[in-house]
Amino acid sequence: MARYIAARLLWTVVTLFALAAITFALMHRVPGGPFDAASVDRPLPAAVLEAQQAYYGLDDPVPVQFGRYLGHLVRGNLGVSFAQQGRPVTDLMLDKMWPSLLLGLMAFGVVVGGGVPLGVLAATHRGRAVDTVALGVATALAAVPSFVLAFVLLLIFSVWLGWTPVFMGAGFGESLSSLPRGIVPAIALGAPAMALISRITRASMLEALEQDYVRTARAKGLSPLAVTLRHALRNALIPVVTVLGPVLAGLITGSIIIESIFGVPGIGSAFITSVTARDYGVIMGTTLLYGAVIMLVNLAVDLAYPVLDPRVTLR
Amino acid sequence: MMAATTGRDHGRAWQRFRRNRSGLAGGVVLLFFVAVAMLGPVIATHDPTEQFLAPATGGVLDPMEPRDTGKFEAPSGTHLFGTDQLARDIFSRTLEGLRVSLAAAVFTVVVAGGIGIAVGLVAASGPGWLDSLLMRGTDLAYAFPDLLLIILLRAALGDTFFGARQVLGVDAGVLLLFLAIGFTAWPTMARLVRGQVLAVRETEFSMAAVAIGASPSRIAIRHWLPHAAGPVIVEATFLAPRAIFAEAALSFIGLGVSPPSASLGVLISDHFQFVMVQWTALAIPTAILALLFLGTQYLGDGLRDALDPRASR
Repeated sequence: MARYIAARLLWTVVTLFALAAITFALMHRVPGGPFDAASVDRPLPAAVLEAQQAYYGLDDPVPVQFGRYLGHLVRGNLGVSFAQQGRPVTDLMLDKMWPSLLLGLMAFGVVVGGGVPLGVLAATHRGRAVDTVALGVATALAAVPSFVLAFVLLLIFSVWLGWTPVFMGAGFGESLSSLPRGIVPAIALGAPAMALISRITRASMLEALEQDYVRTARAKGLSPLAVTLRHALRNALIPVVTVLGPVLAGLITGSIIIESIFGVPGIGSAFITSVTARDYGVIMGTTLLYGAVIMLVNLAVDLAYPVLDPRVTLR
Repeated sequence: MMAATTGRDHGRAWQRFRRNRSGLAGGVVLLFFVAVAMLGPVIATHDPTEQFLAPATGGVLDPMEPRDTGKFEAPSGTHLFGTDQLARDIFSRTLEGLRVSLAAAVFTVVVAGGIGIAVGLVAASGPGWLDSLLMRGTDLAYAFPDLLLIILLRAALGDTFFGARQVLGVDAGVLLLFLAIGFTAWPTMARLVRGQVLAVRETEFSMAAVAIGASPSRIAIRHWLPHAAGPVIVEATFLAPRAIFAEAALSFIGLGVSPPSASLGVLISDHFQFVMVQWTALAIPTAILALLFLGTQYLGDGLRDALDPRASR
């Protein structure tokens, strides 16, 4: 077990190194630099530009810059943001991570709380109207682009009903009373994954409901609810959990689209701003964060597997 | 265990599929849109890039009236879906957008399918070290944030394809965009193919093929690969709408197909800007996108049920 985890963590480090190298190379191939006329408010005089480039070492060959970056990275230093007056990238990301993480967790609640019950309902009513409606609702929510869904939800909840503010703005997550502001964005963010989860739950439940142990449970006179939830669902959830891992990783690392629509000051909007501003440190930081989160969550899922299914052993 | 693939079983799969009404309906919807897209230039009532501006009537300049009319028109006899912010015919632009979006889907499936099948097949049939190497590479590609990779690739490669602005009549920027989308989608396909092939590697018919002296590559392609056909087809039907959605998301942040060319994503995000003026302009392309999505989903479900013998009732 410990060897398995050690090997996986080692592999995570190797992958992150490759991810860093590819991103670094791609990022420097993008024309323009952080201090060009297109990236700053006022064009800099040539001498100042040169001095700036030299100060940050941007005039060195790219491999040299990458080596220096790695040297800082292993010591936990992600460099500074060019666009925000030399603010440390770690500091900036900690700031942006909080809203994204919180919103992602709320969306995850939507995915699990909506997708699993809909899937179970569809499976237990296979072929009947409930099946069609449950699956239809989940699929319809995923059938329009998230920005259109976000707009429709905003129109209903913010404009017509006036329950939530139109713009999420700063301060989200700083107090309990700010949390309801995240509900509408969380639904828009979670809808596609919710459709996926409800389909997987349904398929897996259908298989579980046909197993012998479910027939045994029914035969010994258990209530249909107990059979469904305690006997069938527990086993049906195994394939669902494997999909939930990457889904969670994707949700908590911030969505570029949802964050730009609702004005969430999160990781997704930080990335897109950093690409247009050629803010190299922030581009690298957000990409590595995403890669690390997705790999660690996948590791957690693999570790959870033997707990859920005793037939599985790790090697 | 795995998808049945002999000729007779295909017949049975088709029979099962024919009885699946929602799957069949999904297929019909898709075929309809493909036909419309292919007939696009013939059906189009106008040039998709032409502007139909009409000078305002009446001599007095009213500051509340737009100077030029012809923009944001509601659906009518001359402009079936109305006109957009530049007074272009939305019906003709939708046909063009449908064609580009379907091309995105096909291109992605071909790129992702090609790389994924090759990697998965080689990994499963080759020596152990090659398998490890290829699967670690797949893990790496999987850990790469999709949208971020597409954005970086798009920004890094610019609008030319090895210096050419157009390749086979398609805009180089569009082609690169689709290539990038396809490039993020192959790991799932590779894992799928590898799993399927590993499951049939040690079966008797493989040994029989070795015994009669078939070459390793022949065994891999002629005997093992067909066993992955079912899951691969199903995965492809789910991949296609993902490509269209990815392009739509990119259009929304201004990194999609560049003007004056259109895709469903470009239409939706353009029309999104003036939805309060003319909501039908947003509703129509969105509805088409939704129908494409639902069509592929139900077709995929139907195909999976038909190709998986365990699911038969």
